[in-house]
Amino acid sequence: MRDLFENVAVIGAAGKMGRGIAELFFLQMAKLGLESGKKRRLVLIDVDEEAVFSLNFKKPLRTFAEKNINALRKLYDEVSNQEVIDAFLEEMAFVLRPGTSLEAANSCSVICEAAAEDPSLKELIFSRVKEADAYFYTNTSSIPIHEIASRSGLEGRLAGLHFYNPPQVQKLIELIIPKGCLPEVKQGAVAIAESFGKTIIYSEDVAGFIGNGHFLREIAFACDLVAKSDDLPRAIWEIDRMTREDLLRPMGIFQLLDFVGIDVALKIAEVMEKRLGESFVKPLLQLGLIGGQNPDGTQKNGFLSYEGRRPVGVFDPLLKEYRPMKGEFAERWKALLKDPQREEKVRAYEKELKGPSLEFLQKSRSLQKKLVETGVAHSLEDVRAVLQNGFYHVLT
Amino acid sequence: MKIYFSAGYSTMFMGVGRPEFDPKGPRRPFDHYLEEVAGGIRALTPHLQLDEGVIGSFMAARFINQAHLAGFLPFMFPELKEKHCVAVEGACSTGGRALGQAIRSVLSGLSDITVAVGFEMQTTVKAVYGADILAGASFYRRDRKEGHAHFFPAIFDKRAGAYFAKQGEAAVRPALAKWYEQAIKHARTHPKAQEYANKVENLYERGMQPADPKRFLPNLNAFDCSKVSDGAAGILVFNEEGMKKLGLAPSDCVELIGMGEAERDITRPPEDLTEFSTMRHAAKEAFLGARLSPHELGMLEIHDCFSISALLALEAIGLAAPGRGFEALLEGIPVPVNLSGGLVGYGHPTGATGVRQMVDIWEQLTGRAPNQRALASETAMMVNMGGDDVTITSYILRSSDA
Repeated sequence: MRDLFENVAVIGAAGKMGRGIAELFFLQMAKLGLESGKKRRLVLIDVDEEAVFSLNFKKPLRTFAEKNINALRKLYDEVSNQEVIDAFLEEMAFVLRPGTSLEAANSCSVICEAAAEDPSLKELIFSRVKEADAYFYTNTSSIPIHEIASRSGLEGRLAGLHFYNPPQVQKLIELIIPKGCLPEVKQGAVAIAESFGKTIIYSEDVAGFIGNGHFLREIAFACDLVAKSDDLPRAIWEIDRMTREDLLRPMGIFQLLDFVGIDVALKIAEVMEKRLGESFVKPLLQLGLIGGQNPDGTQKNGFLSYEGRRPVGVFDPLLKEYRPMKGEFAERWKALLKDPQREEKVRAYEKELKGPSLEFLQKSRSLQKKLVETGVAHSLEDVRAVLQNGFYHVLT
Repeated sequence: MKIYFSAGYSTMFMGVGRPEFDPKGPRRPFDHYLEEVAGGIRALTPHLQLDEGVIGSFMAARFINQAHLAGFLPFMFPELKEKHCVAVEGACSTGGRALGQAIRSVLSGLSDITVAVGFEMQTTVKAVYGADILAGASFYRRDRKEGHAHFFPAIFDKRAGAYFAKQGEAAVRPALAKWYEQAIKHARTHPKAQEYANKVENLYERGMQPADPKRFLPNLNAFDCSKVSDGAAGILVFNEEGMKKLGLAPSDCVELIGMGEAERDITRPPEDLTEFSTMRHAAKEAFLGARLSPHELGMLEIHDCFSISALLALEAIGLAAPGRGFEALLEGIPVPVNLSGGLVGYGHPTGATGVRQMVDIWEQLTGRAPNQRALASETAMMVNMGGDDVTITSYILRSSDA
């Protein structure tokens, strides 16, 4: 197999996901650099010129260097640890090749795309780089890979390597291998995911895959529940609280929507609705709320308003303002995640659920089964692995 | 002329191990540590007056970009305004050398009362960079390049390897583990010790962990090593006239009865890695001056920068025969050692340690230690080592109303 980390392009490198994926490739190149002096290249491509040229990954690279100082001292003539690390950082800076032109990817042997969740944009990008003698991977979280491949002329050469947010931290990768995909492209995807230390779960090439297949359907369910209420803001707040506190999740469903970005979720909903014939594009998603994160990582207001990362209010569509709310944030999920007796405790806890919490859990379970029955996931274990590793669900 | 010590004060030694320590948070400014020491000494002295001052910090110029340390003595003690103040350095025996300089200032007749202060701030840089700074205790120009990333642990790891080769690792490792266990247990008795809050139950098992050459070193594990620390200590050094001026009684003081201060050529490697020859010489001098033998001591403060250093120190001092230090550790040392945990347990801000050892001895011999022990005799010895057996400061003290 070709060296997967010799000549790599990340398209959309300045975005949150693209940056994270680029960092993973960069650190892997640094690690391989300790073993051989081979010259490596990481081409970073983005339309945002200022952002892509400012990418340097100095902080994680320095942390890597500090942890591997013993090996680095053997490779450099410098004397002190400080000098050795500075020399290493300077050398690794030459690996990065930022730019705005897609054509820079044409000389690469691995091309990863992490642009916006827009089918026509992805098709355009891949059609511009398809001449490269490369393995192609897309980070799409919902668009069927075979569609992108056939519309961009990449049949057999494109696979889905869906990272979770943020790629540097999240262990999960959904691997989507479309029919007819060349074996070496699949092997390349597996090797990349394994070298990053990720947990691979295979999904069939169906819109939404496993993660969004469950998430977007839960969102649809939550939107339908809210729509039945007389007090829409209170219903949003309560369902968010319930899905967080009662279902033992790190974020409630609406906070998670805000985190992902409501505009992003809406695009995914449109992709899935068009292809699956189900109702995903709910009026609640079309209020013009955006969410997402500020450049410093703090949460932007969406359905909920925030102080730092903590929800402190809920949007009132009638008044077009945020209603301050007080909430409970027990974070029981955190302690349970690492508890060796987690399964027992969760099973015992589940028996106490009733009313809307129980209804929501039962809905989640029916969605999980549906993903297996419709052939998206190979097994219920795989679905649960995605929910546990990608969404940190303790109660699945 | 008799030389006395009194009014000693040590700050808490801060670093990983203390629950208050936040690696990402701001560090307490070093001058706050110095102010605390000054306040502590003042509170212990009925009529504080000073003729001279000595201050020591091994690498303040690198850790905190601060040199010209003598100027901080009048800051600590207005009594030293327009008087002679000096800074000293002797690597990890900086504190010992500060004491030595204070002793000399009183012996010279130029001072009746001199204060000796030692401090260090090491947690200001990450350990990987701190290693470069601490490597300055060796012949840096020649030795740093080939040295291990974590320099000084590797120096003593070589000594451990040589000792293991002679005595067998399986026989010696339990002794080093026992040293670690004892250091932590003693630290738990002193509220200011870095390991005071260490609640780990299986200390001995931790000490027994095999070395991992891939992750650290071939012979020593992480528990064999003292941690980096921030801290300060100070004590008054004076003659009989000084004692009267200070308003102190003999029962408040300890008397210096033996001195051993030695230096070896830093550019030469040790002749025998299984021996601290400079320490052996200095300790012998101290015992000659005190007319004591090691087993007559009431307590001992030794320089356990690493567990192997403790073992070799016991042999150098004469509490164990050469090559039998590990047996002495396993059987139980007849003299109480490092009652507050020593460097492994109390912490090791390099410039402060020697003074802290003296403060501990003063507290125990005058019956005011927070972890007071009943001692078999009213004598004590401190041995403070700089670098790899390069600079040795060794003093023997006695309760002054003994």
